[in-house]
Amino acid sequence: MSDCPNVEIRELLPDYLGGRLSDVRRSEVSSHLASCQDCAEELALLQLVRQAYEATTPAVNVSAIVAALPKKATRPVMRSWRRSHAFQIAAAVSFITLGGISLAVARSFFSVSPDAALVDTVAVNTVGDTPISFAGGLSDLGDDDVEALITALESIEALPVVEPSDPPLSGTGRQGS
Amino acid sequence: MAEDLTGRDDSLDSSLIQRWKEGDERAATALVERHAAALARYVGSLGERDAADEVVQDTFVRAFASLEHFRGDSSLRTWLFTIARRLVVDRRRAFRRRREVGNLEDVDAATEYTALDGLIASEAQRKVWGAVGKLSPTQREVFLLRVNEGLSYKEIADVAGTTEGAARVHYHNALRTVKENLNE
Repeated sequence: MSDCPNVEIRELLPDYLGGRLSDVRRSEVSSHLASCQDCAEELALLQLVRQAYEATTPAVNVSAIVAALPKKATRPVMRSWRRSHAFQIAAAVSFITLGGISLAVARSFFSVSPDAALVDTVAVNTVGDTPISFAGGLSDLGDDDVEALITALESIEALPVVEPSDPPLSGTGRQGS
Repeated sequence: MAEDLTGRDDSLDSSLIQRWKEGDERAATALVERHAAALARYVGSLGERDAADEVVQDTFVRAFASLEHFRGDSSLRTWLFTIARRLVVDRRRAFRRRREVGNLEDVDAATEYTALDGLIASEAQRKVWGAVGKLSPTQREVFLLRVNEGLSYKEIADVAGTTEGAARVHYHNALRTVKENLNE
């Protein structure tokens, strides 16, 4: 098996084999192959290589691969998101607590029924006694509850936006890198 | 070199990537289906046949984790091949540390090539398979990326960490050697 001196055609043989040539180029190569034994043999050799490797391609499980892919995050990943926004959550809950207390005070001031005002005050005090309202500590909140809380908080424009790398709102916290 | 058809493949990949970024999980499936077999074939040709499924999965996981940063300077397939190659190199390094294998490239590909003869039905294919198996690792990698995967010399250079000119030389040297091996 010898090499055809037409290097340009020989360079195109792998692409001819893979169906990657334009119609014009494919036609050129086809015409050359019809009259060049060396290139026809070389093309046949390349074809055998492709066939041999296709026969020995290792099997892969496409479904398992897709299942292992990271999901495109359209909603925050709650565990790490919650951790990175812990300060914001705590600040927001304090804000709500203070706001609730203010509301209770205002309602008690305007309330007709002292009993109703007392009930409201007790409820607000309960909220204020625990850092987080519903079931205990922040970590006891389910992901849906945290998400609902954050969604509500984000609608409050007064809240500062604090990212982990930003300097903390208070004087504590590590220096930024 | 390759002309129009490569451009159309890249457009489809770009479209699927954009759809995935917009939240269409089916686009991820389509991307995996388009490139998984080629990746497996490439990883197998590097001598990691037994671990091909794992390496291919790891490749896609890493690729999708970084897809937001994929600029499209190269084709998606070239990028995937580059990731897979690095994973194979890392596996070899870890293996060498554990077993004190002397050289990154001293994987006994010749033995593996002989063992896989049985998968090839055609005698002619088996002969060619054996001839390719005798190439140096670099020649074999370049030769197969060109013949099996249709990568350009520029793309081969990007994947294998060499130059376009060197890739061209490796390809033609490999082709000549395969012909000589077949004539023995």
